[in-house]
Amino acid sequence: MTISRRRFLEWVTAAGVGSAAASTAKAAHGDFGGYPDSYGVLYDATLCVGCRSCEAACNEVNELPSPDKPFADLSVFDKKRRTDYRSYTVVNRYDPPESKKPVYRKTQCNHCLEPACASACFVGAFKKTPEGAVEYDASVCVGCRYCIIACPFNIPTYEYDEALTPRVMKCTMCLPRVKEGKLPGCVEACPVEALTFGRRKDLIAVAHERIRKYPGRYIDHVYGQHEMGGTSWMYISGVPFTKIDLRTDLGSTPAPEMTSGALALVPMVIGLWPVLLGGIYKITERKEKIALAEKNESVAGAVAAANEAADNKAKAATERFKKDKEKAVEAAVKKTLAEAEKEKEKGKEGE
Amino acid sequence: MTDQVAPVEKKSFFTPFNIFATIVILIGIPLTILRFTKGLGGVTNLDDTNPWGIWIGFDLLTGVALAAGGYVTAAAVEVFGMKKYHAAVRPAILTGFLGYSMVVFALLYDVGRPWRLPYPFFVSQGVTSIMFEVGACVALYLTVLFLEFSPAALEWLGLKKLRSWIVKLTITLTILGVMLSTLHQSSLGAMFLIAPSKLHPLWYSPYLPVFFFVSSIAAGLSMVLFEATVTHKPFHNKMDEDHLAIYDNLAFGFGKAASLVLGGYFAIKVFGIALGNNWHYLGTGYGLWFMVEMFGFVLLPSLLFAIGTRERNAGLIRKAAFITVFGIFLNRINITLICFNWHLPWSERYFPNWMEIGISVFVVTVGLVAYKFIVTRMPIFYEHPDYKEEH
Amino acid sequence: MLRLLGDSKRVQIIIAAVCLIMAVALLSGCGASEAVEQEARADIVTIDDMKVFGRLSRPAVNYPHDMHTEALEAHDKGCADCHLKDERGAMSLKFMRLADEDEKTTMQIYHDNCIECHKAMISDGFEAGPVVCGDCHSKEPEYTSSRQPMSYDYSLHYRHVVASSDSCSLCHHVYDDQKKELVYVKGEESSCRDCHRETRTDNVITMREASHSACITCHIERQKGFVECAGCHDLEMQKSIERVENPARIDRNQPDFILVAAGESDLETSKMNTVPFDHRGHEGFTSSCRDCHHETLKACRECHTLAGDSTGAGITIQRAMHDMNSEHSCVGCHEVHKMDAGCSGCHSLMEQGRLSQHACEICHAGPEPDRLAAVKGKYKSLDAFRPKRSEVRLSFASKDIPEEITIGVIADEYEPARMPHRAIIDTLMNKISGSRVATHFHGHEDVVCEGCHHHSPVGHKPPLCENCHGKPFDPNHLHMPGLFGAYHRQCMGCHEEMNIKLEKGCEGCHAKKQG
Repeated sequence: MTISRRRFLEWVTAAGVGSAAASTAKAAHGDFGGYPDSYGVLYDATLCVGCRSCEAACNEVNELPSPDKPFADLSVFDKKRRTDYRSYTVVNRYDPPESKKPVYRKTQCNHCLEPACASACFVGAFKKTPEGAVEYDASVCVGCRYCIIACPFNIPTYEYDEALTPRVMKCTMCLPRVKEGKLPGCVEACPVEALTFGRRKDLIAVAHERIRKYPGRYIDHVYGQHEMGGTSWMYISGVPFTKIDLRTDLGSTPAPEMTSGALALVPMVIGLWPVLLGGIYKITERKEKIALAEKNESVAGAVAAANEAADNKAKAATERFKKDKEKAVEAAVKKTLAEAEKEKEKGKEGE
Repeated sequence: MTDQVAPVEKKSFFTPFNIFATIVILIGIPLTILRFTKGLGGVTNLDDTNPWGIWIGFDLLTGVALAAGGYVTAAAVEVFGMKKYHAAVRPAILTGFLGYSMVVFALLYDVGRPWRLPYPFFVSQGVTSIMFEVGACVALYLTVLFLEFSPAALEWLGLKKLRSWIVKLTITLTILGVMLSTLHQSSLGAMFLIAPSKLHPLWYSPYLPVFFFVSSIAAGLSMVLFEATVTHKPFHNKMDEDHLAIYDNLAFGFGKAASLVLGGYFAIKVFGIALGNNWHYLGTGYGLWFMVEMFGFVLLPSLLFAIGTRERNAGLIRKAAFITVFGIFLNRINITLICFNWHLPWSERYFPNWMEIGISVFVVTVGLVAYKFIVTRMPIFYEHPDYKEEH
Repeated sequence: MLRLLGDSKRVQIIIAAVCLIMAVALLSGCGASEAVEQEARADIVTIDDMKVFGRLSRPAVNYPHDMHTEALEAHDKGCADCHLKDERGAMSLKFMRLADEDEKTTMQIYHDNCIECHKAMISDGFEAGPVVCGDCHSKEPEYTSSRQPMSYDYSLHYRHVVASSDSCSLCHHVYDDQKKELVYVKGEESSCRDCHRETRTDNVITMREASHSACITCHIERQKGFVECAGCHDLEMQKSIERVENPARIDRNQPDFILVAAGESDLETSKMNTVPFDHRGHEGFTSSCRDCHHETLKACRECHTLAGDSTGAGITIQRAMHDMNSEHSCVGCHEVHKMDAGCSGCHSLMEQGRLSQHACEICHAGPEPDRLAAVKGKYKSLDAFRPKRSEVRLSFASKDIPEEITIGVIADEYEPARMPHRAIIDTLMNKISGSRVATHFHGHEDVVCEGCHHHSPVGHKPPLCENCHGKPFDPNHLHMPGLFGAYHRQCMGCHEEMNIKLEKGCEGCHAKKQG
């Protein structure tokens, strides 16, 4: 079988894709505990007073469009809000029975250690930076919105009303500011320092220390330490996390691990399917060939037998014909002789 | 075997189909302009919580599943040697080719910046993404389908040498086609593996790729029968004896296969529930819906296919094929829209608006128009007299 | 619609079968997760007596007792119709029997009596309970228990004292080993629970049995007090029980004040100064003796020895007195009071679980253990044992406390804040002087300073916030807020804890800068 150039190139590309996918799949298997010195933010739900200074600062620092209601308007708490194209972060108010006063929770990108969005993006528009932030590159984004499907926390948003340059919009952890040694806008603005900025590993220690110091005040769990493989933005709270809309059923498996198994099968299919199918084709071909040969053989046999039978028939017919002829000749001779006799006798009588 | 060449008739343009198609296209063009001037927000009900709608659920996922008839038929005839269905290959390949073309066409609407669709191949590769693999395989497979379809066009154009060169590639293209189809059909399911917290447990399973692949086989078999049924009368005069002769046998053969595949699919779905220990969900509203899908659109057609084959009842088989085609649509819509974000209150859920539906219909209609153009001119339902070959 | 799919009979049968399987699956799944309307009642007795014979094969029965007493009253039936009297004439709490003999008999007793009675009632035309197995033994019972445990405080005890005209012997008894019977001994009265526990020990009946047979029998005889379950065990009914505000002190020969020391055998090794303890004063802060004397009225040191003893569950006297998380220990109870509204402003901001060094000497102000014998009987009050505080205690004249402080160090978007400093200190001092425990532990103003001027030595010129709090998020001091956060956390945190309403928004404390 001759291999065309086109076919060869197709195979090589497929193999390359497959092996690339497999090797990345291996690396994504949950052993990455985050870049060692990456930053994070600890949010303390018991300290937040719902003043929305963080929302205002974020809006200003990122030069986002103004919201419909000003940030000083606290009536927005009457409805639950989510992030949108002009709000990288929102604060919601909750009134759980476990607490005498309302509890607030700030929502923003959690900058996961192994982000679902980065795993899902087929153009690699999301990168987990060594500083800890998950960075979005609008210059390659195609706008498929698979990242929004993938994010377990429902964070990324999209500029649906932009016709030609729509972008995914989400919190950046103020990476440019952090690189300059400044604080993220929301952290700097919070008057009660409900947000603590520091190295992620230090923040985990701070969180557990706070829980130890004030045991009656906190639920003994740091949300984000392990959820979805760990996040850079972590939460401690005085009421159960489900009461402040933080899902506790997400598990600790990082998102990339959920699809790495399926991806790992790709090289297997690429390697085995041609073999399997080619094999079946060859077997089928061979079976057809044998069937054809058998058919021809039986046809030939049948033809020969038919010929032989025809020959025999002809011979028998010839024999019979000969015999018949002889009989007929005999009969004719007898008849002629008998007639001649009769004639003779008649002649004798007539004299 | 005599050739039937259709007599050229002077027909009025205003057939029901043409009128319908014209109206749809007249609506579709302004909608397209709207889409690219007002953005996705101007023509869809998509939002930040529901980023995917019917363009993905129906046009993409259902479209890809139903276009699977191409690889299934080609594999049956070329690889597994079932030459008796030879006449069904070209129509199946055409359905596949146009199906995938329309998938890509719909994608141009759905994606935010469609001109950047080549980026994953040439600019920046996101190789951890299942969607990368889907994109690569669909692109390659569309090429394969184009090549498999091209002999018919080349015959029509009279380019003999090129055509015979491509025909030599048939078996390679078929095998590649099956491989690429396995990969992207299963990966469309694997895309949802990353969102276990959002897809209902009765539909979410680590076996999603397997479910999607197996159901695509049933989808392909049923779609070939469906397409054969609906084209039988309108294009009767274009069909040659070979094609007409297998009309019922195709039903019996494919019906038997579909019965087995659907039966197996039902079984592995049950195993999937057992694996996840999700029995208790069956007693909920979604559970009822799941059982409607499983019993009404998987088990029922499986049984009907079996009965139809047993009793040589081609009509019953065709009805089962209709049910299966709808069942595939239902399954894909369930996974992308109905059972996705099931935790959220109904007020936050998605329903398409008329413009989205309009563009979906427009995309399908464009495909139908192309289909009609091709089958009325190119040797799809008949063999071109110049190329009578032994198969 | 079936006909659409063909006239074949087989097809129709298949479709029907498929629908049937679906329906069965749906209904069984439905049954599993169907929510049952549940009613919470205080009189629910969970009948699971059969568990003494092994694992229950059916769910326990939630039995609504009051419902039955009420219903049976209408048929002139009373307690004796279900509860038999034992050889001493006491009512057995078991149903229709005095003891659990064997599995079958016990089960039969229930089934024969309950179900037959129900059947009889129904055939007589009355409403009655279930007769089918699953209706009593249901996985999701119709009735759930909202029973609140009943407790006995000084007020209730006093009302019984009055009602019984001071006859302690009516309720209180001890077991005489010699005579093998219960007798009343004056001066040895104590809580029922000292002997009557959750489970039977030797031949001592459980608290449940004791309280029901003793209390209810008496209530029935005297026709006073609740007889039905809900009367004592329903939350609303409990709240409705009449309270006596300042009941007379129970006279049990308890001391007015004592010097708390280790037990006799430990006195030689124990070195800590004894603790002068106002027993009489503390009685006012408890609802019953058991708040402290949780097992017996004996002195703590009898069970809690220096090294720990099995009678005290191995808990040493040190832990018994100082365990911060216990409700019975001295320190534990004080910790709870630190979170009262008048105290939590400062105390909630302090790390919990730590005692300052000075707290030791405030309590251990008595003589050393070896001097106990010498002072015995020689003091009439605890005034002789005032705590000698080693640290300097400062007093502040009002003029020395700044009246108002302007905080403008980091004023940026807002005007400097004007803090009413002296008024805050006066408020806090008022709250302290109103609390005995607070006064005892910190009666001087300097402690109030430490509430805000924390982690620093006390003095007339305490450090300002900005002297220690600077830029936030120092990696080596992540626990310490920056100045911005420190101001707001301290002020707003205190206000929140003490429920002192702040005017809404930032402008309540500092006006926004114009322009």
